[in-house]
Amino acid sequence: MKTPQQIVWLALVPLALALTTAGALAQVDQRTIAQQLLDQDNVAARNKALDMAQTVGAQNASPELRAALMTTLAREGQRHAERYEAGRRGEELEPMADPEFIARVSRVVIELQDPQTIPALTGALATGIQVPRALARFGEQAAPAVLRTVADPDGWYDAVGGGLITLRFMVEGAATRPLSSGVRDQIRRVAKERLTGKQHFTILWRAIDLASVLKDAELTRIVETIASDANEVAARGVDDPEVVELTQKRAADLIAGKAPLPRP
Amino acid sequence: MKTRIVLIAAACVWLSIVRAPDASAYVVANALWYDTGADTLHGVVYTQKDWWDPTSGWEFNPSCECEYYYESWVTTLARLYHPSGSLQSQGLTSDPFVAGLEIHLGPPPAYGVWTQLGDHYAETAWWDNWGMFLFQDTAYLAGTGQQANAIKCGDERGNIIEEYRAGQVNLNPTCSDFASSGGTAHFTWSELNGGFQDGNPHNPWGIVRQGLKDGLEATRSNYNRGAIRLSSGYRCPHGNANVGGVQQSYHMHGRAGDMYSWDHTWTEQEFNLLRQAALNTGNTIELFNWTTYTDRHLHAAW
Repeated sequence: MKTPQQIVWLALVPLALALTTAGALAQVDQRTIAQQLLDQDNVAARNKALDMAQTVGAQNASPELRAALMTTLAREGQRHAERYEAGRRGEELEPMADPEFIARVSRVVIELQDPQTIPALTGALATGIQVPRALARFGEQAAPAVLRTVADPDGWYDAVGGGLITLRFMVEGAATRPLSSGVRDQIRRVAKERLTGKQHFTILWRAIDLASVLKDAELTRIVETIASDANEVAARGVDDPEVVELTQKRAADLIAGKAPLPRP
Repeated sequence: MKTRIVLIAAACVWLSIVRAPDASAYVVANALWYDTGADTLHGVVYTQKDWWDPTSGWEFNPSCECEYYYESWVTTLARLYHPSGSLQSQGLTSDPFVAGLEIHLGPPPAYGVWTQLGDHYAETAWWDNWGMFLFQDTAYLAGTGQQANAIKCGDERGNIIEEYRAGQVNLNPTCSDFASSGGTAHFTWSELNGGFQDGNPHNPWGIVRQGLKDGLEATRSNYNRGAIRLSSGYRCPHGNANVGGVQQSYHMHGRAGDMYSWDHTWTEQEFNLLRQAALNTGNTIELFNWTTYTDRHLHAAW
């Protein structure tokens, strides 16, 4: 004859077993999703896996799935960067299997809100405004990786530009996410580097934007020189007169107090 | 004895043929179809009375001062069942010859989608005009497999929605997501809705989000170097596949546009001037690079 307590315990055992099994199944499913994400040859399965990862959600994502998402983004970033390099070498480019996948996976990785995603996100700086915003939200924590990208003399101009925008967002958001004087000084130095010497015009533009929010006397003088002297712009490698004019106008507008776009 | 047996048998046969209102009423038509205009699923059962009627004949009608043929009527009760087995709809009708019933299931539950798959069938029973039960039958109408995801917008939008389902696109548009007009100051509806190589077979219907319209206008304003040529805006899933678009392209969400300059030679520099303009709108969710596509268009999504 069983006591009521024994009966309760006996009833709880299958329940616990069921819950444990369900948990294990969920882990197995996430493992499958992670594996499919990493399978670069199957575009359709990878897309589906990404949708499923999004459904799982950042809160419930297992460490394995989170790692797979970060790896996937890092690979995609690398793939786009290599393509840029191939283009720069004058190689003929074949169509990419899924060029837009990087933006989709970026969105899912951003939702993780995990500092461990900083390296992968930094590798995707060339693909729009979402990544600079996400990195800026990490504040100083993301600064070293972004500074490395911006300082790279052989860096892809879209990645460097994205990095400069990120740094500007960090400076403009310093009221809520303070920057140490050391990091601020590194930002100032890298801005100066990108305001001098030969630069792609988009890098020069984003460096002018950054300088305008740093409120540094030396940088402001450089921007004033650019605004007033077309030869100074040409000296930085911008030779098309229309682009020289646009560069000077941008510098003049920012000196006059106009807020740089896009806004943080 | 033998003769008596033969006579009784003959009488029975005769009675069974000419006297009995036998079970020869039958379903002459049944169908199940979706009426896109009314947005309803219809079942229909027509039954034909087919027996000898001792009360039929010709009679003088004083109102028209003419002879008319009269016959007893048959009353039909039809019930239409949902695949779940529950009674969906029923009706009762009487007619001297063909008792026809159209049974309307009404609009489907959500987004115009029948979620219950399976067979619809109608159960019919007939009585003569003296209330004598004649016959009962179950008539298969059709399955709702096809109707399960059929279009309920009453027009071409439904076909586009079906493409999303069939193509496993990660978007489930509803009828209200579509529009048939609505250009902006600088982009016509036909540019926003299609404009790609093979056109939009569903024209004028398409999905164009406000974000795309605002993003394109803001880009044009920031660019400030003349018009933007939109080579591709909204794409239905088939259209997207035809032009080699990616499986989950934002073109199918009505959020993406492919751009070139109208007024300037399309160089890497011009591409970057336009890209910076799009970047400055501040809310692009996709914005790619000079080397991303082999035809060098600027793809942006908002």
